[in-house]
Amino acid sequence: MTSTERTVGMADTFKDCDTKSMEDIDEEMESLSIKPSEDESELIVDGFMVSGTFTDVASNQCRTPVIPSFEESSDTLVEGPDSRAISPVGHSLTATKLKVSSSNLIQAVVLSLWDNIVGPRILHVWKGEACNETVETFKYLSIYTLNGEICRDLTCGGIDTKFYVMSRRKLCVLALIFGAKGKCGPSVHCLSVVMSSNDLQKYVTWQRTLHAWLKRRIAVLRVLMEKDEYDKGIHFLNASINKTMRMLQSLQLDGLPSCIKLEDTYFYNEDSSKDFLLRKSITSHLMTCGRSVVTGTVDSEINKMVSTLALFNTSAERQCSRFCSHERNWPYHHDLCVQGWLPPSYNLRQSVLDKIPLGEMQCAEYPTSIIDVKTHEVRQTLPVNEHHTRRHDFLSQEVTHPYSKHDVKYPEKNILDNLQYPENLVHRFMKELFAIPVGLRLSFIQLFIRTIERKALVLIKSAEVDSDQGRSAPKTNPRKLRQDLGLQLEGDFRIVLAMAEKLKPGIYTYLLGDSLNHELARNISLYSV
Amino acid sequence: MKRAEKKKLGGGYAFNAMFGGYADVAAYYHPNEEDESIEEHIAPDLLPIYEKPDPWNLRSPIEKDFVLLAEFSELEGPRPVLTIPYGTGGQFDKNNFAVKIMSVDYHNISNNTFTVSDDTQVMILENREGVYAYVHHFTLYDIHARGFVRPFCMAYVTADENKMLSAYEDMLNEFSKVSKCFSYANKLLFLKDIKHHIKNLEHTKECLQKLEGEPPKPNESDSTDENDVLSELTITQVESMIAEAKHIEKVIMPLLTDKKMELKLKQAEDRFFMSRSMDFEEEHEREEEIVQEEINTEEKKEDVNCIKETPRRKASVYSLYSDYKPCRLFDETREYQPQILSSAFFRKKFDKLLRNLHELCPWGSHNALRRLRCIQRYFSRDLATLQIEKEEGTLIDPAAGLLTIGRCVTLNFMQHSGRLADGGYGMSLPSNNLLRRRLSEDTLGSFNSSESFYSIQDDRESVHSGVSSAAEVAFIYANSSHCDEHSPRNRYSISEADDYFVINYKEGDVYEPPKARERYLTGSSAGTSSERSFTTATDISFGTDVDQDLYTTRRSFYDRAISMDSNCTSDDLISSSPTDLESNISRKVAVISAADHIFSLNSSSIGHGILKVFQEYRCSPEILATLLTGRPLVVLGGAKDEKAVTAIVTALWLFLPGHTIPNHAVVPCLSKPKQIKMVDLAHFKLLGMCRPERRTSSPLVPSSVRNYVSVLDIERKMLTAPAYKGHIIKDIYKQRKIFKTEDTYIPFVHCELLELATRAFIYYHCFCQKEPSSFQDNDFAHPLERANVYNMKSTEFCDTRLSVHPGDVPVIEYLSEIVKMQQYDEWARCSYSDTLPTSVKLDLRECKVFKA
Repeated sequence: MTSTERTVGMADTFKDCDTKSMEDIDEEMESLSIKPSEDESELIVDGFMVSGTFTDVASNQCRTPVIPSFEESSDTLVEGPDSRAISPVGHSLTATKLKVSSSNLIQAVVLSLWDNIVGPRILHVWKGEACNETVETFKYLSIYTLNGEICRDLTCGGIDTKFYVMSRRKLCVLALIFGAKGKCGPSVHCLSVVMSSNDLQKYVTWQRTLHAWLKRRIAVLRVLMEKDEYDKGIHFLNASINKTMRMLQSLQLDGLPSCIKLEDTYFYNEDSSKDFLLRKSITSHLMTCGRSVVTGTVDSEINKMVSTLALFNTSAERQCSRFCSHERNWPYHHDLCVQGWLPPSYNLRQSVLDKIPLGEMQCAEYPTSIIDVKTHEVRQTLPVNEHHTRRHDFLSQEVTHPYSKHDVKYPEKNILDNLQYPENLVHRFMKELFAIPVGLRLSFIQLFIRTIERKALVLIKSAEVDSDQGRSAPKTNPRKLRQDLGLQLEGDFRIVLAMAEKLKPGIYTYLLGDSLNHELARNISLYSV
Repeated sequence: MKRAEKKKLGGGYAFNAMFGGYADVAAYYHPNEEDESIEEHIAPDLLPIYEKPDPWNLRSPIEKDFVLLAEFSELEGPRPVLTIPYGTGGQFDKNNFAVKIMSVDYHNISNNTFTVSDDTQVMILENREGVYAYVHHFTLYDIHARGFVRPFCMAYVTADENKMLSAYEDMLNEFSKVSKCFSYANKLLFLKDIKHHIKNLEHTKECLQKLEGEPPKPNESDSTDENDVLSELTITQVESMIAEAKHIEKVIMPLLTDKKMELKLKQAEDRFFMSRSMDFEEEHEREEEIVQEEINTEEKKEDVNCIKETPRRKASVYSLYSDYKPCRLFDETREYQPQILSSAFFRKKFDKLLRNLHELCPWGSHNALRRLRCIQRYFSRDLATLQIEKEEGTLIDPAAGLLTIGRCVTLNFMQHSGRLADGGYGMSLPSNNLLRRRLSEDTLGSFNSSESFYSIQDDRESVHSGVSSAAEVAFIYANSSHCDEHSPRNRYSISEADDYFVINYKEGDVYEPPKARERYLTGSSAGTSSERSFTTATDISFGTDVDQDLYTTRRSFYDRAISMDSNCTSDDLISSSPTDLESNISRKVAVISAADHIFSLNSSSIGHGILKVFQEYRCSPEILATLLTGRPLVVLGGAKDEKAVTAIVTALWLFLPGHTIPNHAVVPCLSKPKQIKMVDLAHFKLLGMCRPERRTSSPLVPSSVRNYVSVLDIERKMLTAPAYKGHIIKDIYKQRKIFKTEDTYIPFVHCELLELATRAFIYYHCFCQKEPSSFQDNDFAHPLERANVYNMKSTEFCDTRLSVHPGDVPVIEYLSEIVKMQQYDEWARCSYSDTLPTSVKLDLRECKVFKA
């Protein structure tokens, strides 16, 4: 027996097939309360010392057979720097086996660090069942990813990303490099996500989402490690990897096609009862940079709306979008573009707003529209510029809250805007759309998007000329800019602004300011146009 | 317990504190003092970094995107070799970066035998530094290098993270192609070297065997290198070296299967040496100069900025060039004379400089560097441009449905046709009725001057050739290297060979705009001006517009490059003689995306100077209406006004719809103008002319033609054109006061033109496709009556469905007409597999004289 003398197994804590209304990260933090299991066993896989309990995963997944889960390994806390990790030249290391569908993007995850004495060293490996990589490969990866980072300044935070394509080994590796406190003081760490090179295309489509997910979790991991809670950190990562894989699985199983058929949308047959909802939804969807959650009670209705809204997204964005599924019942996942979401135990007395995981929405890169196809309610989170600062605050809070006396302050329901901005762009678009033959409608929608894009280009160019590409303070105030562009209506302006944000990230905040107070002052003047 | 509470909160059940307004929100937003004290326990560097949105990436040390080529030198370690473009990088520490990207052994292969390593790619996103890079590692092989390997890498460095993420896949593909250019040529050379090496070894072995047979000569006075070598080596050593070399040969051989690539390299080599042998005495010195110059421009210039930091290195690099000799890769004629092994092969001398990139990849390196420059130009554009261009790239097909205004892609009328399943309203080709309209009486019947119509045939060197050839300039500019066909430098130098290598890359590279244009406009170029190839709208690519400086590689660069790689067989290549190429390329029409136009505006862009024109001519709405209704416009100037005329034509081009040859030609300025004939009206839509200094009896625009064209006389400040009664153009014109610079006004124009085209799109599909077919010829006693009813219905449709003022109806009609004509041409081409004579659209309207 190697370094792992005794193991304490952890029951699979991820039986969350039914959506809990809890915040995701809380669930992951929840996993830190590890209880020793009676059923302990060990397994050697490819030279790994894999230890853990083997719960009957299948029985947990009667409703969702494809959902990844873990067989967890955990060690007793044996002190000493080499108790659970070995150098690349060693022969054993601790690992966790991932029960995951072989088609999942993530094949394995490796946590390693740069040890000042032995160099790159693996701390922990999570290995999927279908992954055939040997321990040598992981050792090679840890050397590969950490070399060149020796001179990294550990005093300034931040997580850098590297993505390697290694055709010879038929591997792709996403490496997130960060400084954290190891057993022997601060050192450079690396979390490498191992993928098959055949999945390069998938990775490219989902990379933004994946980066956002992992960075958010690494921020928490860094604090745990700082507080010498190494084991908690590993368990937290377990849960996080599980969640991430589940999110990827959801995209794989219920993802949108890159081309949407008009028959599947509300644009095929005009339904006057849905007109108002449709107009409001499209307006809000465009205002929130094409990020929406569609909710309701009937999945076919939700999915029809998802398809409808996805027509306003690019095909790359569509691949980062998801239908809802009654069988699989995916929870809300942040940083997806359009997603259908079936809230658990929906009843009419309760507003869906009570169930919305606002904290999770706050973590997303862009604001989100929430569209309830049942009650025809459309709401959205704060506009891009406010959302940006709020997001940062919330993520900071998430990092500090385990050590804070106070509970996390989740965003209140009333940050959700009921969307009463007057607009004309979508109104006119819909009027014209339903007047033309069905065969032209897809082209017409594309034309509409391109018209907004061109308006956004005028806005970007105006801001660029006005401020000498941001080098000097803007001379024209936004109110004048709006008038010049013929965007007096608040809704129109925000739609164009959101499109400009997609084409020139940061312009929204540049034009409207990023601090809340400043924003208030400006907004008041804007509303009074 | 606490956890349970938290859970409850997290679930969103416990929201006790309700915000009363912004003040409360602000209070929430700013953490109170207690919170701050708690957060003290967490080091600030552990908290997520707040990244203030930075739309123009001002925080980054990188001002402009660049490509860095670096190598892991066995003498000096990682070092930057060159940057593209020269001198970029600004404050960015390239040496440090080179160390960082080359520090890892990317070719870590455990076995001891020789293997060929694959390329590896890394995307580096360093948010802290604001540096984002795509790095492509590749290995070249060098018989003189340690382990026979020379690790190199190419890095595309940018300050824009979003660009890096969205363009990653394209970069991967493009850099792989570049790497292939380098590697293939290099492997050929390496194989040749290895073969020679084996011969040398075998020769050495023979010598050794001979020596063994002979008695040793104790007091050898002339201790040469050869003798040294022979005295140090044993037969077993040499045998093992032979085995090693043969193993390498065995590994390399199967990789060299790309006959297409070999052929291209061979052509390049042949062309170079052919010129040499043709006129060796005379050419010798000049060729040397060319090679020298090539290197200097390619590498030395770019190299200097990296090298100047160490003077020693600078000197060494230049010394490398001085003895650079173009090597023969494909010379089968001369038998290699084996030599006794040089001592350098087993006694490493680290003071000897290794081969440079050009020597390592003969004939391949120039093409690779050219590709790199194209990549840099392409990707260094704004993220918005790249994104929009990608989307608009899909609008090009089907070509017959594409409408462009000012050579910018506006919309495609025939997209998504047939996408719907049965039952849907699919788009169809125009009905026969619509096609017949083209040759209707109302156009042909209005020829009232047969004399002027036919006169063109008597005058072979007439203005016609000028017009048509000039029209082609716009579309075959990419082909402008043919203008320099007689220049020996271009004909035989590597650069030209490379032009055949990748047709599309030549766009921005071998190109001399003013000269080329002059040649075409004066009709002196023998090749193209005499050919009147009827170019349809079928071959369209995102390309370069005539006056652009082509500093950006366009979409075509991708599409065609891809098609070249995937579709061309070696047979295609062999047959692609210059003339074939010429005829192929001249059929290609270059269009650009509006985003590209907006973000790369310069003094030679289409539309430049439009605000100045508006300022000078109050009658601008009439000028624009002329262009947007398809009536030809002649800009007339005095003998010395050539510059002014060209400027006005360039500015007004922004509003000219259509791009097909020969129907929508634009001629910036005819320097040797001749009288316009009726038939010319079929070809040009915007023509600049200067009156000759000596007044001739016949006016440039004869009265018969004057009825059908609008004339802007810049000498007399007068416009003769039909009056404009609509609103749309006036609105566009009025906005000039709000958008005071062209940088903002031109995007606005693009926006308005797209809206206008959207109207035309609906008109085309909902009116043109339905109404005419409902007309029965029997219903009308006279064709004119039918035309009247049609016009009435058309105006009514525009008014009710499109909210378009009757004065603007001709604009909408004309935009639809362009697409109709394109489809007609396409239909005719498919049906008759030949081109039909071009029809002349004559627009007889009452004209007014406007004073500027």
